[in-house]
Amino acid sequence: MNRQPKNNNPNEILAYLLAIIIALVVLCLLASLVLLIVKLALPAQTPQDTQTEETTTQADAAVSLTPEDVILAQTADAGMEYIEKMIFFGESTTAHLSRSGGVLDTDENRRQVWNNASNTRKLDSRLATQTFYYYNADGTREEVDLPTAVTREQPEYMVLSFGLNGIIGFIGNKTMYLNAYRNLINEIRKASPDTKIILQSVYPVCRADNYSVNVETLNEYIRTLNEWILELAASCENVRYADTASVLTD
Amino acid sequence: MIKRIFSVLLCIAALLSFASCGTKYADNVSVDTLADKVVTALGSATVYVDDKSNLSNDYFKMPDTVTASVVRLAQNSTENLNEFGIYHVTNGKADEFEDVLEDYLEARYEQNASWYQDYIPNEAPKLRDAEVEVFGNYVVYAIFDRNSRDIVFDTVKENLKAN
Repeated sequence: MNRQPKNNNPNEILAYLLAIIIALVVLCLLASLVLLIVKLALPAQTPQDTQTEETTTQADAAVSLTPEDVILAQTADAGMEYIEKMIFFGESTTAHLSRSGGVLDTDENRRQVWNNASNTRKLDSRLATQTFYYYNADGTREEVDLPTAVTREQPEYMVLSFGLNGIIGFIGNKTMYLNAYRNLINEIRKASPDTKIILQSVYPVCRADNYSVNVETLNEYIRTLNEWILELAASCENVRYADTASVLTD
Repeated sequence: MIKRIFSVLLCIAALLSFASCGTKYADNVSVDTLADKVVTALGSATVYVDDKSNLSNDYFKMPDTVTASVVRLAQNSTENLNEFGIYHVTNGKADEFEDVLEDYLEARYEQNASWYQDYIPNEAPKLRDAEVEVFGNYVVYAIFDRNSRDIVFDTVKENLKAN
């Protein structure tokens, strides 16, 4: 009687192993695919979906001015004595006032422009906590944040110029822009309640290098932002609007 | 018969190893402790401070599932974009919050790219290439150069590995 030999072929064992490995790999891929489908199907929380509410400040309370009321009218030249009462706080266009031959680029006047080492900044929630160079009365310079500087200086006027840096994000999020500007005004108010704040318009531009839009669109954004700045000035106590953009626009 | 037993044993072994392939992370480490460890690991070349501004509020509303958070950034943040954030997220929502942070970092870069490239061009890639990682219930983002990003993530990972 012939007996069937036992089939101990190593190749069969290897085949079994390979089949098991392939099965596990397929299982992993299927599991990953299922997880991916579930993840894509779930609504994602995007920054735009969760708009923060518009904040108000003490400066907003009971102000009933119209935008036209807050535009600074052209007056006779009041000279450097008037300008020397001002502190300038803004982006790079402000920084250049005290650099490279700007009108305040003198030993006496440089302290009026609160610059940081990078000579620029952007309006956001971090602005008031970022340090910059402050010149003490004795001429020494130290790095302080905005509340500290305003508390020490108690400026009669502060000219704020913000909006071009970050405009691509601001234009799609008016609430974020206005909240950040209100918070900045509020920080100044807390440190120096009597300071007269001037919000300067954003300058028009003739180039749009490094922006994702062309110059025409960028200038449209700037005009929109300036309308918002004017609205903001009208809604805050003791805040005015300097329409320098009109003077600079063809 | 032996082949079948061997196959079954192999299957069981493979399944067991598959089930244990995920790293277990602790869930009771303070985010501030983790942040201190990261700062130590990064070295003393840069001074880091707590971000008290809640910049993220400009971009998204913090979900209730985030029970603790810390953000540390370079003291001279207008010239040095080094920054990291560590969040503790409950209810299994860590992966979802990872997406939120990725969108947040992308939005920050898009909004700031133009003037970063003008004034601090060497720093812009840090935000462009910022990454987010999940370690159990902790979600971490890092805005650094490549080497420092690895230090941040490796430090958090090592300090969260469950014993």
